[in-house]
Amino acid sequence: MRILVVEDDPDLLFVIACTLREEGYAVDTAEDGDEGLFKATSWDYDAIVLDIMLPKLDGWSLLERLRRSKAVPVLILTAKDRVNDRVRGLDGGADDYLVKPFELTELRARLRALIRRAAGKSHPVIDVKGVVIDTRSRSVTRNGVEVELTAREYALVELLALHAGRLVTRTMIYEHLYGEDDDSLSNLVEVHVSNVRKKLGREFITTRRGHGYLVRI
Amino acid sequence: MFRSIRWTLQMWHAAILATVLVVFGWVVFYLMRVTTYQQIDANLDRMADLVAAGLRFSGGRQRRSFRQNDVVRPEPNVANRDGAANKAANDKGRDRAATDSKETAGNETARSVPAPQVTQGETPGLPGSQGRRGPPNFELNEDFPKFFEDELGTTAYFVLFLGDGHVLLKSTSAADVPLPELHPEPHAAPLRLVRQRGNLREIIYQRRRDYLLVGRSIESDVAALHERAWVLAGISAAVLAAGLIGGFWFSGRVIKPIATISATAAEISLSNLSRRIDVSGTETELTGLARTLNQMIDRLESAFSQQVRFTADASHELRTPLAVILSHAELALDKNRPANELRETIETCRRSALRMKTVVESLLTLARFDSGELQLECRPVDLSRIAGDCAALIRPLAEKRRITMELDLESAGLIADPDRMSQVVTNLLTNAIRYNHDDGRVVMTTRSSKSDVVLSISDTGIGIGPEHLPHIFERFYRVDKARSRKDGGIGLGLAICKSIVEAHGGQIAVTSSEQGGTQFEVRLPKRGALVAADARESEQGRLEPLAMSAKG
Repeated sequence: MRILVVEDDPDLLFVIACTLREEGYAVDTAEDGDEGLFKATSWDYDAIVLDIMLPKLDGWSLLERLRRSKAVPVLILTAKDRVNDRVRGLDGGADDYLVKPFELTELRARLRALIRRAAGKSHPVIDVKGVVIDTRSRSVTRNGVEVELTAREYALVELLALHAGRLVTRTMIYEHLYGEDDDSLSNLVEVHVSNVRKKLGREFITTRRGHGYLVRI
Repeated sequence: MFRSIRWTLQMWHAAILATVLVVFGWVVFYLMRVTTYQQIDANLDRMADLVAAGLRFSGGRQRRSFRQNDVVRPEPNVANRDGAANKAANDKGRDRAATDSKETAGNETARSVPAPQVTQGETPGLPGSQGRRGPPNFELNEDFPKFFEDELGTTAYFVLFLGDGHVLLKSTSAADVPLPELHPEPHAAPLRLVRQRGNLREIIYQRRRDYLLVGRSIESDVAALHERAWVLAGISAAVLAAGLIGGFWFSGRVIKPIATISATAAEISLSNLSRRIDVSGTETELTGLARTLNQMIDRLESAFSQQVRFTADASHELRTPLAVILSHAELALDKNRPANELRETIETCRRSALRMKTVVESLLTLARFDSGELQLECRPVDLSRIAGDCAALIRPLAEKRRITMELDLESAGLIADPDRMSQVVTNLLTNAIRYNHDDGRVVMTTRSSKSDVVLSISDTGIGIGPEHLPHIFERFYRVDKARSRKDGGIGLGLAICKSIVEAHGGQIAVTSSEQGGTQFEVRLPKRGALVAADARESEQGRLEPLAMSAKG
């Protein structure tokens, strides 16, 4: 899952990016509105964390321009706590609103919920042919037995499970699993797919040669 | 409700209208009354003429007939005697007029003219014997009272009497008429006396030695007069009512814009400051009032929105470092972290806490300036020395970016708070370095004139756009948020400078071009702080004696 964080305070940006990476998300960052808008429109993120008081282009304008082309879930994270601002944010196309100061756990939970809902799965537990993925604890069990996965592997399983029954292209996997700072060459998708098959069974992931991968329901 | 303008207007209107109507009605009634009595009197005068003529001519004629042919009785046939009697009467009238005019007023003559026609018919049948009962010089027509009553009814009456109260003749309706006590002076002008007894109006005329009292009841006239008075009162009441209703409607019309203004003003609250009173339509005093109110709301709205913005900015400035501290601490405690990561986290938290401290202190300083709590510790200082000291402290910062500082400091003594002055100089110098290019230049000068000292700090920096210039002294206003945040600015420095300079009675101004270079100029009066303090004290001082004198 790939997330963009737009925040002008470097310390805050660092800590948010840090905690999200530890959760296994691929995280891109932007320190001003222009950069944020450019990245948000260039890539398909799974969610965007957006500050309002930004240099160059404020969060309201960024959101308004972003919504002309993208339906990506947006969580507004701001010091503006007035009801008017919350209403303006949600009516302006944001999907959630969190006021600073905030708890990292809450931010993470809200992002999980946003991503789930965007994929059409409102329940936090996804069950695909005996493989149960709990997005809350980021754990996977196969026939009741817990399976140890790396963060990257879990992200891949979650992505495929959220899109269960639909084709997930290699580009999508790259875009959703790797942040701008990741070295894609050293993170070949095939390696992760192969590792997941070893742990969850060969039949869990079907390969569509030349197109991508698929988890059958 | 009855204290409202509308009711006050209505009350005044009612009072004035009622007064006018009462005065007008009274005058009309008075004139009507006077006219009525004049008519009554004229009527009585005519009656007196009739009586006089009836009596005298008949009497005169009878006397003559009595003397000429003692036994002959006047013929009852009127028609036959008509012409002769008429002629005789006219002759006699002329005779009498000639004699009377010597003693009585001229109008007696005039009155005698119509009389014969009336008396003619009654003279016959008058017993000659009765005529001789009166005093020798009077010949009375004894039948006249009957004729009088037939002709004029029982409401009118007459009494012919002598000065000593001896009644010669009277109508039957005048049964108990009290006679006036009269003291005639023979040579005085003839008497005409009007008197009123209840509903009876009487006029007493003097003719030589005898008197004629003519009277009649004026009950019907008084009744008619009263009737007209009631009609008048009715009309007045109707006019008053119509006037009051019209006035109420009209005052309602006049008051309506006030009510509209008041309703609109009542709707305007803090959450709804954008509403304005409608000032379209014709220009009246009330439109002016509405416009003034609108301007007041404009100022209120701008002050309020400034306040809201300030609160939002302040909360943002405090929340962001707080969020950093909280989230970093949370992240650090999440897992077992290596020592160097924890150290970094603590470093970040400390930096954020320091930032919060700066914001809080700056806000407190501004709040103290706003509330007037902040006491300036003023003493004679030399601004050039303060500027020199500050420059020395800040030089390392400039050298780090290879910025040259040029000082041209002329001794400039004034009375001021040295700590606050160095705060201003430091703030402006820091800005000049912060927003300068590397290898740039900062020039600071102090000048002294007769009454002012001027501190000027200019840089070769990035400049400020003209759209930002009017706002740069506003709290939390930042031309470039990213840059200023990175450099540790919180957006309150210039606001604090402005507050300090103004507390010293001075002014701060800025000129800048986008091509580069910004100049701040601080102009302070030499006695500035004292003048400002004097002004404050005298303000308080003025209030106290006033309060005292009010008590005294």
